[in-house]
Amino acid sequence: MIACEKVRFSYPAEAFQLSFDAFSVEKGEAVALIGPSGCGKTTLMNLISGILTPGGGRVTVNGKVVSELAVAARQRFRLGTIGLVPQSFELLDYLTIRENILVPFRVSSQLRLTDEIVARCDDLATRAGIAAHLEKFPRQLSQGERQRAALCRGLVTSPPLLLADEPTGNLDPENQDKIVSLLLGEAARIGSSVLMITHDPLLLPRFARVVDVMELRDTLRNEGGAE
Amino acid sequence: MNGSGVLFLGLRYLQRNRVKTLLLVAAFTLVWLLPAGIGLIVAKVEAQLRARAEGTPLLLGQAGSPLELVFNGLYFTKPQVATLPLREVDAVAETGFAEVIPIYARYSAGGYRIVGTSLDYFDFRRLGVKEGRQLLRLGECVVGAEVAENNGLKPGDAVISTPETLFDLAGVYPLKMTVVGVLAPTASPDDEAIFVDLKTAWIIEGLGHGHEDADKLGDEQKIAPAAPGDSVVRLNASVVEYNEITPGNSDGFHFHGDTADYPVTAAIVIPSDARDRALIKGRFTKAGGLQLISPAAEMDELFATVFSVQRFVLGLLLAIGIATLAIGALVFLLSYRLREEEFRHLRHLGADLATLRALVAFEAGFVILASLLASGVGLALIHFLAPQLIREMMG
Repeated sequence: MIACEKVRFSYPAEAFQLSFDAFSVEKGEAVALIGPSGCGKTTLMNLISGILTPGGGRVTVNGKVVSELAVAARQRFRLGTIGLVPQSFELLDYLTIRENILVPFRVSSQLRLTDEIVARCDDLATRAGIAAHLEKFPRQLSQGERQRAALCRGLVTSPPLLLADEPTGNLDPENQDKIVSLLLGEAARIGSSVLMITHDPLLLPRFARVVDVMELRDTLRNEGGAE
Repeated sequence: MNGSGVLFLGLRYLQRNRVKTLLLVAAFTLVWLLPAGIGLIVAKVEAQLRARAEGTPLLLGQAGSPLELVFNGLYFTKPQVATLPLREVDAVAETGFAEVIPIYARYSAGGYRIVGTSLDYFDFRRLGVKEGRQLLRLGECVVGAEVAENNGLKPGDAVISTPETLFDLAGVYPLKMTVVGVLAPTASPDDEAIFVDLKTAWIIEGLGHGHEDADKLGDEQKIAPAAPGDSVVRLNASVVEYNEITPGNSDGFHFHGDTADYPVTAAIVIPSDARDRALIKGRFTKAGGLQLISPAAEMDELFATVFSVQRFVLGLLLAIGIATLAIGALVFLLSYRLREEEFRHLRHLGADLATLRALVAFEAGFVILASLLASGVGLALIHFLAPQLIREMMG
């Protein structure tokens, strides 16, 4: 599902660099990304999703070389292939929870909003325990409920790949468990691969594989690479 | 770009920020509407006033404000304009240089002006009777189209003049007049007037009156002669005065004194050619406390002043408009800054640049379009309400 080769990335005018030799995630695999703050976990996720493009190397997702796509094509690819679940929810405050979950269908010209999609949205919300809040606005919901809404939005397109950036970072243990269960359960149900950033060691046993980004960067360093 | 998605998101954003949106639309509407509305009103006033003024060659009146004379003689407003005696009107007619039509527009009935005039007025203004017939006798009236429509009047109905002084026993008493005709509409002040014979107007004023025949009255209704040998019969207050002129009592109406001394507020003077016009103007301009004016020239003067004021006002509005647009642009800019995070979220989800640009433009586009639409509605309202506004403005 994900194949990164000899990736080099740096932010303009910043000392930070992320370089590694190889990283991959198999189809249907659930992988946890760990590492200290600032080590490049989110940068790696943004390179995989096409939000950022590497200075060197190749990032291939679902058979497409994302790093070589033009901006518009990357946007289209992300909408159709990747479900994003950010830590900060990224819900639009002027839309109801149902409208927020369905927002990928509003900004995409390739995704069609149908009755089946709306039914899927309601079904996801029911399983996430937020069905009663579908007509409410984000500010009327708790942190955990908003995170579940963001997760439903990531899942609603049934994407082959789910990228979750610390979706449980601000949640209590009960809500953390709910979110991870929903994320992994739904991904398994639709056969999606999952890549999730987390700092919580208690969640790691629930993933098939754990990748430490610091170790990932060391692979290149050990081979005499950029770092 | 997903057009319907942009529309959905844009409208939802505006809906959730409706107070801000309404304020912006209102501010922009005023920017467009105020100068356009003022221009439209001035154009309508000018068109209406000029058409009537240019159709009236000269106007004779007592010396005073020429504009008040124009407004009274042409638009039947300013009822308190100084009067001139009928003999002055006759004097102009006797020169042979012009046809003269007296106007006595002082009293009213139900808010509509009663205009005392001669039958020549109807020919001069090309006023046709749509229903009924023309004036024939004292106490009859023909009403303008709007008067008839607004009050459901038809031939055979009656209108009663409005008494001017409720507690003044010597004041103007109401006179019941029979409607004998309804004029065809002309979209002019004639539509809102009640036309009567000049003598009927004088009766409303109390200069003429009707009562029981003195010869048939008993002595108890007569006052003793003022002096021995006095042949004038004086009647006391027990004599019944008529407040309606009917075929049966019309002979009982009469005027005391010389009607040549009776007042008119204006007279339309129609010279047969330019030479006669020049001669008559030379003879009567500012002669004997009178004024003979050209309504069109008065309108030129009036609108020269109006336009200079309008230019000044439009200049001020331009400055206010530029300031409002600048503030509006600032609001849009700040709105964009506030929404940067939202646009970043959408970009992360996969929204393309065209979609994001369309979302940014939607708010400004909606406000501008909605304000233009509201301005259009405002201008249409001004267009339809202009006649009423003009009437109110002219008093």
